[in-house]
Amino acid sequence: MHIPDGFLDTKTWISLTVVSVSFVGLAVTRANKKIDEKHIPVLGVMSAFVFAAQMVNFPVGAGTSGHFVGAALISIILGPFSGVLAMTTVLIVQCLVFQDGGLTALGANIFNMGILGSFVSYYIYAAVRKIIPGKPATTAGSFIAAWFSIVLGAAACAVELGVSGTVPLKPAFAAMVAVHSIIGIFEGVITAAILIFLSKVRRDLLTVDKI
Amino acid sequence: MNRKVKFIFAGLFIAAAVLFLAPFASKYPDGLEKTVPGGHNILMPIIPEYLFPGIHNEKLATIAAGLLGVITVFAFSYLLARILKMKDK
Repeated sequence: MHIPDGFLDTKTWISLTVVSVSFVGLAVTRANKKIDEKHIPVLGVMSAFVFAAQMVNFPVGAGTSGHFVGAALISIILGPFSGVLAMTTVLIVQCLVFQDGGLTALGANIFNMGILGSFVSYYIYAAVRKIIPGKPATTAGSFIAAWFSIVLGAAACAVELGVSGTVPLKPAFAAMVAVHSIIGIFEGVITAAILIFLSKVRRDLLTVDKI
Repeated sequence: MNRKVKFIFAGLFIAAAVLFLAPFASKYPDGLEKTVPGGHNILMPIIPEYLFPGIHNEKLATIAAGLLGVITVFAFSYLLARILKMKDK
């Protein structure tokens, strides 16, 4: 879902850069106030894991692939602003070192995968846990949250390309949402599986203060 | 080795283990590339196509590029968190 250079017109990429810089600034301020010694290694390791996992594209049919994004996983464990910070570090390295995602599209990519992904999944997860009690809530909540993080990120991506005049909005929106509804299932399964794994081996990680 | 260092090694080991799947990753275009083909980036990549330059075996080059990325991302994120913790509250 990494947008390259040339897909977004000037007004769109500048607006999204401003939005993303503001959110990342807010995340830095929040983390500065609330970060604790035990968050530090978790943030580093989770960011590194997400980078690695994003390299493993899996086929989703019709000659198309998808990959894990990871914003839901990080924001469920560490909170939405941590999710924004971790995803931003991943996307900056992918952009500057590997040229995966364009420089002018960096703000848009941080918005779609980092900011939207983190906040959507954090609040959906919290909402599901209010409705369903106990352990199944972790599994169901993380699956649903992760699925929405991908589908809404893809929808936002399609709108950005549409308003840029790169593609006709309606068919691109339909295509992006359709294919990412499948990719989102993988995101949901992987996110839920990792959370179940962590609840067995390092339960304490799931109860750190959310930032 | 204290608990924190052990955690970091275990976490990075898992990330590195995941990288061994990367050479077998699907080569199909992803959801966005399939919907909107094309697009060219303006920067020159330091590591193009996730292949470490100078390594002829494509599988090894992918893993080497991935390891460089994992270490870079870890260092960036860890140091950012460390700096945010250092500043006065």
